[in-house]
Amino acid sequence: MDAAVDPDAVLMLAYAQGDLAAFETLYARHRGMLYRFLRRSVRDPHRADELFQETWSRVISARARYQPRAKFSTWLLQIAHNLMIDGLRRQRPMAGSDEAEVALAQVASPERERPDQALSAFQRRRSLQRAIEQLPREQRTVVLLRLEQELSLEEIAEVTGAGRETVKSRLRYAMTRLREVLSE
Amino acid sequence: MTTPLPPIDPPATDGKLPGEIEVAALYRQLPQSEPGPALDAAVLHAAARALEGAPDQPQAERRKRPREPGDWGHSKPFSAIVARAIPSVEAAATARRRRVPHWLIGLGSAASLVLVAGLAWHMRDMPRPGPETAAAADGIGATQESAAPSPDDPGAGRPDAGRPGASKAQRFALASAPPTPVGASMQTERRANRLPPAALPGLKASAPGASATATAPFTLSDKPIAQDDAAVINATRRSVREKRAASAPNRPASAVNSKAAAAPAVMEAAPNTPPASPPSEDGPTAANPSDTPNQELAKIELLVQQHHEAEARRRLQAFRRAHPQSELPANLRGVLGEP
Repeated sequence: MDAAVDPDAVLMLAYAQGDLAAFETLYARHRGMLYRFLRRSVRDPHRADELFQETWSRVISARARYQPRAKFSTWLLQIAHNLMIDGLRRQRPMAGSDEAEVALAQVASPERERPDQALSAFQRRRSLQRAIEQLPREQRTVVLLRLEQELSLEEIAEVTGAGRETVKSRLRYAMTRLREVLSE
Repeated sequence: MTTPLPPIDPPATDGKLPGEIEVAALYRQLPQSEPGPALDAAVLHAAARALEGAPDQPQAERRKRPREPGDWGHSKPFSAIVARAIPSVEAAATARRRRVPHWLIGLGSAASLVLVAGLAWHMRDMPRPGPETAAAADGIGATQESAAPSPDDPGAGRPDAGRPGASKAQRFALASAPPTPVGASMQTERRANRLPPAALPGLKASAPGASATATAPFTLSDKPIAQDDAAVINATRRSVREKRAASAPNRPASAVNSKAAAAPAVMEAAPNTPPASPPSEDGPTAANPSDTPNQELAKIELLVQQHHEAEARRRLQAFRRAHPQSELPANLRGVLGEP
């Protein structure tokens, strides 16, 4: 990956040279995406915060040896995914679906939405959220990377360390399941 | 048991899967959660601190598992780093002092042990002045009492300081030097034994002064070194006795009398104690065929004084056989049981 192509890689290289403003820009660009990916993957907010901090800590620590071999966002998600897998290997209990209810209740509904439509939209969002949570972990990760960051199959394969066909298969299974839930 | 096959969709390129657009649109309506301000501040603070090269910047942890893609470094979470934040320069210095690595303590302990073991090994090789050498020194001192310099001589107590052959500069250097301790003279003796004989003439030509004092036992003495050491011991004892006697008038009479009486008592009680070992064959009482009758008798008298009666009797009998015409002194006749 050429650094000239990826502006994030340029920012990271600038930070490695001592430009703190470059890091602030980089952080502002990716903080939301990374946090949501972690938050929906592990669902435990405290654990998500820890993983978020640790991911950026590794980015900071690796600044001197950073080489733009891939998109910065891919590298960032790769770090986060590996940290998350490490945590899951330690068998941390997952949060229940009640938290999803709380999160869904916080969604701001469009004011002009009719009550029946609002209820329907709310139910659809809640169904989607639950369906994502109930996916197997590998499928959930693939779906989140696809929906959140719109990564290609190759990029998802790079982040997860799986083969492209494996990623494609997981993504198909996951999408089929989500569509089934939404059509019910 | 069957494994479900993946859903068969229309041929999809790397583009969107069927129904993905709808799912993605609904997904974007999910809560857009973002990190809190504290989290942002912690990350940005850590990034700034890393650029400043703070001592407590995140350090890579030791890897416990194989490397994985993207897993380029392990570091402590920011919460732990913030908790370890050092508020002031003094506290930082104190913390730095406290952070003595354990391996350094272990290394220091091991080095100390090696040093102690080396010293013990070195001291094990050193000869210790035992009763045998002390008795030999006393014997030598008795025989060389007349030849030793007088206590008034400032060079008393040092080997060869009063020797007529020593030059004036050498005598001054020896007089100004501190008395050579017995252990030091033993060490110099061992050094002399290690030195090749050809090196001694070179040492004799060395300059006077401190170095001359240090090499004095090698350079100025024609006698065997052991005899020099014995002379040093005897001269030191005499100087101590003289000093005690000189300081006696300044003390109370009772103390002087008691101590003055006690000191000779101790000194004279020593010869009454039986010797721990037979007389040395290399000592001053050793029989020498080239000795004159008077010298042989003097040695036998010395043996009697040292309470080696059996050896003295044997030597007297041999002397009687070798010199039947010689007349023995009265005390030696008593040794043989003669009137």
